Amino acid sequence: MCRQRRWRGSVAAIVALLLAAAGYARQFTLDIDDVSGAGFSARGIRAVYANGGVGLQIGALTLGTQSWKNIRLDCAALSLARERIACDDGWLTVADKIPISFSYEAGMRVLNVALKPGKHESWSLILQPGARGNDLVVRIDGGRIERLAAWLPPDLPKPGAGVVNGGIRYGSDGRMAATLAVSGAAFSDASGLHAGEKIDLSLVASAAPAAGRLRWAAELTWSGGEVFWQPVYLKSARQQLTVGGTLDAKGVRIERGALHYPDIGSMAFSGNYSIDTHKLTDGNFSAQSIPFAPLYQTILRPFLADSSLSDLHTGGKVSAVVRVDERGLQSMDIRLDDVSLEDRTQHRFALSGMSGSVPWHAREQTQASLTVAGGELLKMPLGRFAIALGMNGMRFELKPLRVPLLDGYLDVRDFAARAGSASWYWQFSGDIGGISMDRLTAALGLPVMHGTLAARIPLVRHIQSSLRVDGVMNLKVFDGEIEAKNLVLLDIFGKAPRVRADVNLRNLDLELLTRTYSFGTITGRIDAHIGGLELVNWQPVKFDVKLISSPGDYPRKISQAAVQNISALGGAGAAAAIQRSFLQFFEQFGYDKLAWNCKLENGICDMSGVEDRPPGYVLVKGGGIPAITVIGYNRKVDWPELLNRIKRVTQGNSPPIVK
Amino acid sequence: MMKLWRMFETLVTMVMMAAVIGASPAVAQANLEINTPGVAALQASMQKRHGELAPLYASGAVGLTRDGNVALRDPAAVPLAQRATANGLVAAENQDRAALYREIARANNHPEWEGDIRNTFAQRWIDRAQSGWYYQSAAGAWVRK
Amino acid sequence: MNGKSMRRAAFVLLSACFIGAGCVTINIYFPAAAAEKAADRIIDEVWQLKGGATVPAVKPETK
Repeated sequence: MCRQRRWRGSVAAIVALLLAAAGYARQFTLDIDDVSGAGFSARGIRAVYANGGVGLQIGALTLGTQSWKNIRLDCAALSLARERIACDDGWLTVADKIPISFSYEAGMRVLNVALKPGKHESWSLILQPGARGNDLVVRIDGGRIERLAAWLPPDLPKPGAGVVNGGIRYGSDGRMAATLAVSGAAFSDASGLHAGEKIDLSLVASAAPAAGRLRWAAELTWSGGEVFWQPVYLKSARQQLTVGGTLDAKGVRIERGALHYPDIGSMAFSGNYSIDTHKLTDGNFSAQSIPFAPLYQTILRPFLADSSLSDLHTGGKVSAVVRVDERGLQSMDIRLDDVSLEDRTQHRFALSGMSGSVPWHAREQTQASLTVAGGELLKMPLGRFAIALGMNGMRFELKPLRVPLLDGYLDVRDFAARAGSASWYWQFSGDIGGISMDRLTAALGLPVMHGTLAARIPLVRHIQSSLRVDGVMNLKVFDGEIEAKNLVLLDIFGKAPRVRADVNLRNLDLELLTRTYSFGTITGRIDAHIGGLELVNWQPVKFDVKLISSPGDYPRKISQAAVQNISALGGAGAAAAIQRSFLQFFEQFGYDKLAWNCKLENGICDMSGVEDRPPGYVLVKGGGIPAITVIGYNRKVDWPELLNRIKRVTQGNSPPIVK
Repeated sequence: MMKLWRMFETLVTMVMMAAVIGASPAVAQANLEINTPGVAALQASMQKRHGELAPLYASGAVGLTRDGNVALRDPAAVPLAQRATANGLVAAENQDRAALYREIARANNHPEWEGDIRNTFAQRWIDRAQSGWYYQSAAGAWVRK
Repeated sequence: MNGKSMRRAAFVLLSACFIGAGCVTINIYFPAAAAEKAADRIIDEVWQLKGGATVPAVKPETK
């Protein structure tokens, strides 16, 4: 403070000296080493008056966080009169040479400075006596925004094109008013991921001192242009931000804030921002009955790219009240009103009529309750169900849940999720029951199968993009049982998911199975053991399958068509030990045992059967009357080729191949 | 007991001789296995994406990096409205590329080859890029082919 | 006695040879040429460079 007063005094002295000297001398030079004040310092100052012109030089000037070197002010023709000091065409040199004019009316005590750094561009400053001192008025006409670049914090995107027009008035009574219009503005950071183009904005702001604080209000309207702020892209639609509050040494207080976004809705907010800690110490945001579809499309969707929620049909309304403090997000109370989600392109899932509330709190135990009117999962219709989700910070637990699925149900138990440092961990176990295979296969677009489906899902854990199944997954289908053990799914949501498991099939009804595919009917039951099964992108790359007739007493019959098709599987090189005449007379044959072993590795299936019968092996061993034995001769078969054959055969279009 | 040990010795010796004799030529003329469903799935996904990436390579918005990835080297070449898409394409492509290198290494039972495979690919993507496309030189500078 | 220990020595030696050979042939060797061939086949597919009209000839590798 003391320092400041000193330089003020010295400047007055300099001016007086300068004026006095001008009267007597034709030439005059003044050097000052150092001048500093609150927020500014200048070093190496030299003023030269010669031949009616004046030159002022500053070696280094620091203003706030900015500093310049070698600033010059030159005025070739300084008009000095008793009432008026003026320079009509001077030059200010700060890196660039900028035309400057200034005048001081001594009688009215009005200082007028105008900078014209570009064509059609002027920045002028008028200092004149006001009610309690000097009023300051700044007028900007066609001011190029890029000139502000140096003043902005270095981590903000740099402004490019665009001009600003308007005025700022700062009264001696402490009142301030600003009306500014920005047009055609552009900004971008180096990565180009935070950028805007052709932006038109208008700002009307005012402030006035009140009880030791500054009471302020501002209204910002965005009327043109576009912004990309990774990952969100927004187009102007006359979005309007209205804010009012107070400002003091401690911080900024927003008492009433409103963001109006046409076609989406309005959000009200309030809060405190601490200047010391640069933190939002208390923030409240509230938006009521926001239509979900435009909210999803404009704001949420970019954040969900690459997830299964990236392309949805949405509907309904959402409301939210969010509270933030210096520790971060504190609570989020979300209400859904008839919200619907539908996987638009892949039709994997759909949920409709979701209503309820999710009152999440960072530090308290709360419970979300939602009802879902219906939906679809993998094209299978879902019935109405209710979700009760216990929430405690970033830990979530689901109460046992029954979702009606087709004519049966899906039970979800022990669902728990928590946020880890890098990804989410979740787990669940469940049951599927009472679903008729007819309806399931019809819904999935598979060949119609019969019987009912029941499955037990043991504890499934999701850890870092892999799913691990503890225990045995059990599926009841085709009147038998399928068991999967040691099930691991790696990279489950990636492009090439990997699955490893050991699978056992027990007592499957072959008639139910073969009736499904136009394979010809085989009556009987089979067991199978598939060891070391490895699927990549859901296609087998490795396994060791041993398929054999189940032990026990049951009818064993094989139809003529089935025999022909099994023979066809052997391909051109395979031969069936059957005679054409024999086939012609009988529709069905008896068998004693059938077996098929295939060890798949590196795309080659190494096959064998019930027993060896060199040079072949027995696939179907005859028994009863009339009996039939099928013998295979190819032991090594190319797996893709075998798959093609099975496809041809099961599609039923191929003519029976009997040689 | 002695007999058992001798039998064991002979057996192991035979197996090892067979392994030494059998393994060497098989490894020496190794051909990398790429006909797996995993490689096929990734290849198909990348091929589909290439239709969208090709104009970005041509405009110089996206370039081929020296480490076998792609990068958004000049976002200004992409209109703002498409910048998120371009950025997403680059991220998805790099994810697929990483999975492809890993998958090839895994399919050949040598997960430790992943880095070598990535380096080989990095060179080949650049060698086979069309003229006009940008790639990163060994020193990291962007070069127009 | 002597024969037995000789045999045992041979066994140990052969084990070492096998382990050594195993290390050298399997773990260190990276088939660069095969990898390039594989890369080219995949790049052909991904970039749809059938026929190779626009493809420059494969440069000789210095490796």
